[in-house]
Amino acid sequence: MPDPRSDRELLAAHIAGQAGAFDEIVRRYAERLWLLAYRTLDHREDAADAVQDTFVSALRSAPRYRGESEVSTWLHRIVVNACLDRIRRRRRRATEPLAGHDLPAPRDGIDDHLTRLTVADALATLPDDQRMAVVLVDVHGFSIPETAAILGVREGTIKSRCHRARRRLAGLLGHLQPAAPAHRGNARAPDDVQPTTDATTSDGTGGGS
Amino acid sequence: MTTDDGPDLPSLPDTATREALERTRADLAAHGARTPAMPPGLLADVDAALARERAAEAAPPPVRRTPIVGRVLAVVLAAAAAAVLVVTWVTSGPALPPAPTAAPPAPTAPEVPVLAAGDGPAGLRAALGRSDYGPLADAGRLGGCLAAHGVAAGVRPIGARQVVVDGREGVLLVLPTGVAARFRLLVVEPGCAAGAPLTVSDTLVGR
Repeated sequence: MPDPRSDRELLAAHIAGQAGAFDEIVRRYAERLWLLAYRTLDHREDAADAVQDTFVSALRSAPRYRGESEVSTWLHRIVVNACLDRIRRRRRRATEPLAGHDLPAPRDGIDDHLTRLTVADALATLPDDQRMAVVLVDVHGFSIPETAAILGVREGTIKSRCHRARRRLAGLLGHLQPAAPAHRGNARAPDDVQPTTDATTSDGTGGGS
Repeated sequence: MTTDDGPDLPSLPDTATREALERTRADLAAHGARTPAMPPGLLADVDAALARERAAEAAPPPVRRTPIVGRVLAVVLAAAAAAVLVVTWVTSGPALPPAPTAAPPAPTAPEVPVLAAGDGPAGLRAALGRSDYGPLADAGRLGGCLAAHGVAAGVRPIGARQVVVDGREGVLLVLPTGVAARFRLLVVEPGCAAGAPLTVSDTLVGR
């Protein structure tokens, strides 16, 4: 029989020392966090490790949870950071196949048939901020406000990142002809703005694992 | 600094671009729909990781290390003592018995702690983080033994060690309870198996 308590009630019970409360949170969110981790990393073992690290990190930081965001948002924020950690580690490893994803964009004039990639390959070429935004919104189905809360930036920033990501993906997937030369170099145009909160660290959801 | 909407966000994309972006979003949604289901062992792995984390929280703090100055001094004194021994041996000649050497390494059989029944903290210290399953090293046998004690499938010990408890040989298994810093210490006879619990002791330790 499902536990009728809300996520917040469960987390509060866990912090108060009640047996099994955190385990119920794990049962509720493991599948959802797995889906996001896999969609972000496209790698079973890495995604499984990211989920495991997420719950360990959440267990450690639970006493510092201040309830400023929903438990769901808090957990998704932790798994996003865990995924980003792994993406950065992959990049540091020269032998990682991810290096092979670093193909030129269609706007560089490569023939379409050479630049048609799978969705996973195409996502892997995106800058981290665009990739996370478009995965959360278009692949995972989060709303713009939910995504903004998870990533700790403004909604407008999410829209911008998604738009840039979609344009680049459209080219990589063969849906869009190469852009005019005037657009060259815009793929990495800085779109970072000030985070709306410092919740990514204040709630103990930093990227460390 | 750019605005939130970014510098290259067109307000009115042309029809072809709009369609391309829609096809892209459809591809992304389809990509999401192809995500495989969560691996069946992932929850058990998460449980085990959480148990290790809880065990680490419950473990006593590490022994305070000697300050660096003390360690340097110890090294210097040891070197001086070795030098004195060498000089003594050289000046005294080979008629003297050889300088004492370190004892030969002990046989590699694992040390078996002797415990008193009910001494949970000592048992926890002895077994936590170890994997000395002895006669229960076979996964099937271990699983049967755990099941005989009502341990849910998928729950793995977070420590195991061959022990002697009140004179009886056994295997001590540290099991997670789902509560931080609380563990179930199960000691079973070597013949423990499915349907034969052969319990020596079964205690809870921790807060």
